[in-house]
Amino acid sequence: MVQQASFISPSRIVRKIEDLPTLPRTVMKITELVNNPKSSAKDLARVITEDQVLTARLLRLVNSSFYGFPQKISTVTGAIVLLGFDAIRNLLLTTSVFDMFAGSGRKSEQIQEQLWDHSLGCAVSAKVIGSFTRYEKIEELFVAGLLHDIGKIVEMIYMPTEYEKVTRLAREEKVLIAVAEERIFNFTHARVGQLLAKRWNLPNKLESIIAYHHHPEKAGRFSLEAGIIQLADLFCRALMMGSGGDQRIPSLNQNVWKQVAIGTENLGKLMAEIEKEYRDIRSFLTNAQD
Amino acid sequence: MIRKNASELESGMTLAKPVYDMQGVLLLKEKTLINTKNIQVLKAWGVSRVWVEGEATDEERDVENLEKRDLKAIEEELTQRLGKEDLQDPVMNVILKTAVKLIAERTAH
Repeated sequence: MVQQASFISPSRIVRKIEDLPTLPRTVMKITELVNNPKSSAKDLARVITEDQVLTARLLRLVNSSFYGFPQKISTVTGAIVLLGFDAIRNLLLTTSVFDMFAGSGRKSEQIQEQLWDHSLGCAVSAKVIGSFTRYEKIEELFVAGLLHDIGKIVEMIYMPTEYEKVTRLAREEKVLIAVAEERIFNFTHARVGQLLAKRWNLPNKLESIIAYHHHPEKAGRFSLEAGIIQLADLFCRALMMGSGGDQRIPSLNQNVWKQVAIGTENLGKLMAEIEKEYRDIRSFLTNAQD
Repeated sequence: MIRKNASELESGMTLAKPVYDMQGVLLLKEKTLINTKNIQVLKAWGVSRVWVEGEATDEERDVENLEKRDLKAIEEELTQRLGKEDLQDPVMNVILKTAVKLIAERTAH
């Protein structure tokens, strides 16, 4: 039986949050440009091409099977015109988050890898649900899936001892991490993720999805998106893609199931597509880091 | 009845069970005589294994038993991760069954 730790004071959490890493300067700059309606594709291309690693990654990603464009895209401007500003920002955010996962590992490397696989599985599931339901911006769903558990990474890096207690409690009592966090911390990774999203100036939509992916009904005008992430989380857990820190498959949220309207008869096709895309993107992203 | 990998199929073999794609659409009927054309169809639709008529060797029987055990083990593992009430939910049941099948295929690769 795990002993419950005394609650961490809110001021300590805020201090921890202030210590959180900022996004790489280039990605911050790109976010600013994307948010400015006066920016042109040329402005954006100039900032990206200043960074050779980002340039190479961007071109590799747009030419990957993930996007499936018929012809090769060889210039950054070409990629921007084709994908649009938001998609470019999302792409770069994705690779930066991957760096954060990869660079932070010491003790709990395996747990982090598992969480990365879980996040990627959720991102792919969200994207597939999005294209299945003809959601307009499936890029956003992908990034939201990738970042939905970012609060867990923060806890893992900045409160390693406490987080270990959380995972032990989740394992021993067979509960979700969020339930164990409530008992030990009196807050969850969703709140921590929300604070990080604020610090990174991420769009409101993304912040709401991260904050309410366990309670989509509280996400206001983004309840559909938060619901899609909740459902995506269920699919990637059922398909045993990595681990979110516990060994549970959450219950189906009946309201979300009705709202997303996939239909039971389409589950076979949808889940097979998730499995296929997950394998593709996983091998691509792993190789892209070499 | 023997289970064969698509790569092991030869012209002249007879299908012992109908073949469906991932979405449950019938590709080839039971008793279809295998020829090079329908081997290509199976490969194109990503069908990895089919049942053909004939006697299984001991080795093939071992492989088949192992596959059944794998499926059972995956199903048990997933069931443990669900709440009891979730198993009563028809949608969750389909999710569970589909996941078992996909995970088994993943591990067989």
